Amino acid sequence: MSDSLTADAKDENPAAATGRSAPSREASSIALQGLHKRFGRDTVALAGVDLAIEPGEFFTLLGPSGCGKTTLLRILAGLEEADRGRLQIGGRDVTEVPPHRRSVNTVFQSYALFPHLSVRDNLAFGLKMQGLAVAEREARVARIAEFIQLGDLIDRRVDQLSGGQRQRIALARALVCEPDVLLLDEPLSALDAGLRSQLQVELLRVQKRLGMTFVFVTHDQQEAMVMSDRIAVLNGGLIQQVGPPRDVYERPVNAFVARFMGHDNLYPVTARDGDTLTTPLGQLHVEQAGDGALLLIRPETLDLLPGDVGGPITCRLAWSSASTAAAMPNIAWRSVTSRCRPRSATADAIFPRSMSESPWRWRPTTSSPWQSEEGTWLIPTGSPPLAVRPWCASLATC
Amino acid sequence: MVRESRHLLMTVAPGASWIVFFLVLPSAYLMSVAFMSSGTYGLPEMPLSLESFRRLAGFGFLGWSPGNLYTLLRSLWQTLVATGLVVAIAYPIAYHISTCRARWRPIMLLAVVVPSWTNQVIRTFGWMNLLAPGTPLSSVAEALGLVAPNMGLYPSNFAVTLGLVYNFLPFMVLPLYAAFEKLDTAQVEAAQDLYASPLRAFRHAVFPQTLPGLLAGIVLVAIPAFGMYVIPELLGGGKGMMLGNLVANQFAGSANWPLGAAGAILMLIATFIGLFAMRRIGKRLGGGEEVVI
Repeated sequence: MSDSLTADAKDENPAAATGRSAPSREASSIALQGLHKRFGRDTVALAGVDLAIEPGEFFTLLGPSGCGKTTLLRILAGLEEADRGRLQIGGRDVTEVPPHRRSVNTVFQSYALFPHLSVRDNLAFGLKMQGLAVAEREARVARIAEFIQLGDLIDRRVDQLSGGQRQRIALARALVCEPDVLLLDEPLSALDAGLRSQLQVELLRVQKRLGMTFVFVTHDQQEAMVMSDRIAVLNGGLIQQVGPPRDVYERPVNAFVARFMGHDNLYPVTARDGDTLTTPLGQLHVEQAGDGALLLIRPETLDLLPGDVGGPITCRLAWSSASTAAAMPNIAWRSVTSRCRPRSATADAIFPRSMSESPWRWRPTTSSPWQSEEGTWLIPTGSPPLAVRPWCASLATC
Repeated sequence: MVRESRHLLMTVAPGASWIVFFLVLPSAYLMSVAFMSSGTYGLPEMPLSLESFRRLAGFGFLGWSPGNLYTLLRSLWQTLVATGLVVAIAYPIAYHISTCRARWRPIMLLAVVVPSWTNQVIRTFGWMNLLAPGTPLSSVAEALGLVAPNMGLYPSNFAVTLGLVYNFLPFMVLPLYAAFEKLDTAQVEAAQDLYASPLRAFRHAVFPQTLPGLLAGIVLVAIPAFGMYVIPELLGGGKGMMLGNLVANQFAGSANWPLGAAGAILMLIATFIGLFAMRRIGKRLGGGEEVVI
C-alpha cells in the first residue's frame, strides 16, 4: 500500500497523491471557446462563453439560478452537447466525445448514488466500468474510503445514509476514478450550515492534496469566496467577470456582479470632475481613472455610530444584523449599508429597537476612506457584458 | 378494552369474512373434492381416494398417456413465450410513452388500455375472424410457406400465443410506465459519467430502476396467462389446450369433479413455485433489496 492515497496523504506531496495505479494522470487545463447552448426555441442557457481554467485550479462558476452555470458544467461532463463552440480538456478537443470516454467525473447535486448497490459497489462502479481487475478495484476503494474517512459506512446500503454521508460517498465515488477534472454541481446546497462549512474545509483539503482541477458550481457567493482560486460570475448565459475572489468582490465590473457579491451601496454618479465626485455624502475622491457611472461604497469601510455629531450625514436605522446595518440617510440615497460595532458604540446589545428612532452617523473605519480606492469603487460603464435582464438593466441605470 | 376489541372486530370482520367465505372455504372444499372418488355424473363421492391424482398424472384405463403432461408443458411454454413477448413489446412502449410530452402521455396510455375495455371473449372472436383460413393474414402466411395451404393461422398454438400477448400487453405496459415515469435520470447520467457505455448505463442504471415494475407486470401477466381458459378454448383448437381448459372440462363436458379439483391444485402449486422463483430472481437482480410483488 505504499502507493496508496493515505500514504501519499501523509507525505504531503500533492503530485504523488493520485497514486501509482494511474501514473500519468495529472490535473488538466480546460479551454472553452464560444460555447452556445439553447433549450427549446427561446431559452438561452449559454450565449457565447470563453473560459480558460488552469490545471490544479479550484475554479468556481457562480451565478443565480438559470444563469447557465449548471449547463456549462454538464457540457464539461459531456451530459449536454453545446450547439456551437469548442471544448478542450487537457489540450485535447473533447467537444464530440461522449461522457463515458472523458476523464472527467461529476459530483451531482442530488448525489445520484445507485440505491440498489451498497456503498462499496457504488464506489467501485466507475472502476468496474473502466475494466479494472477486482483486486485493483478493491484496493482503490479501500484507499479512497480511508482517505475520505468513510469508516464503517462502506458496507452500508445507500438508503441508510444521512445527507452528509451521501455527499461524502458521492465525492469518493468520483474521486476514486482519479479523473483529470472533477466537476461539482452545488454539492453542498442540500446540507445544513454546520455540516456545510465542515465539508467546505474537507473539499478544499482534498483538492489541495490531490492537486486535481476542480470546477465547482454554486449560487452562494460566500461559499465561492471561501473556496475558490478563481471565480467566474455568470448571468444570462454570459460570463460577467473572471478573477480571484477578492478581485471580483472588490472590483466588480458591473452592477450585477456587485449586487451578486453582496454589495448594496451602489449609487449613480451624477457629477464628476476628473477624480472628484460630488455626491450627497460630500466630495469623494476616486483614484481610479477611466469612465464610470456607478459608485460602490464598501460597507466594511463604514462604521455606524449612534449620535449625530462628527459625521457627514445623519440617518435613521433601517435594519441591522450582528455585523452589518442599513440606515436611511436624510438625503437622496435610498439606503446605505455599513459595518456596525454596536458593542463599542453602546454598552447594550445589538441595536435596541428604540434606537431606530434616534439619529445615527457614519464614521469611516480608515482615516479617509472617501479619499482612496479602499472605500470606493467606480463600476466601469460599457465594459464586459451586462446580462439582458429587466431588473438588472434598471439597476445599471439606477 | 371491550370497546377496543369491539372496534377491532367491526373493522376486521368484513374483510375476514370475505376471505373465509370466498377463499378459505371454497379452497378447503376443492381440496377435499380432489381426494374423493368420481361418481356417476362425475360428482364427488366417498370413499376417499388418490384416483384423481393418478389420472391427472396420465394413468387411465388404457395405461399411461402423455396427454395431461403435454397440456401442463404447453401451459408453461405458452406462459413463458407470451410473457417474454409481452415484456419485449411493452418495455419500449412504456419507455417511449414516458419520454413523450406530458400532455400526450395520458392519450397514449389510453390507446394502450382502451382495447381491454371490450370484453375479452369478443376480442378473441375478433382474432378468430382475422386469423381464419382465407383471410389476408392467413393468405400472406400461406404465401410465405409458414402454414400449410388452406389451414389458416387459426386454430393453432401460434394463435393462442398471439391472443395471450395481445390480451395481456396493457397489464405490462402500465406498471412499466409507472416505473419509467419516476425514473431518476441523474442515476443514468452518473453511470455515463462513471464510464458506462449507453448499453451498460441501461443495464446498471435504468434496468434496476424498472425492475419492480417489470416484476409486477410479469406477475400480472404470467399468472392469469397460465390459467387462461377463453383464449386457448377459442383460438387453440383441440391441440392448443391449456391447463385451464383441462380443469374447466372436468367440471363441464367430461364431468369429473375430483380430477378437475386435482388439476386446480396442480395449477395453484405451479403458480406458487413460479412466484417464489420470481422473488428469488428479483432479490438477486435488485441487489438484495426486497422486491414487493
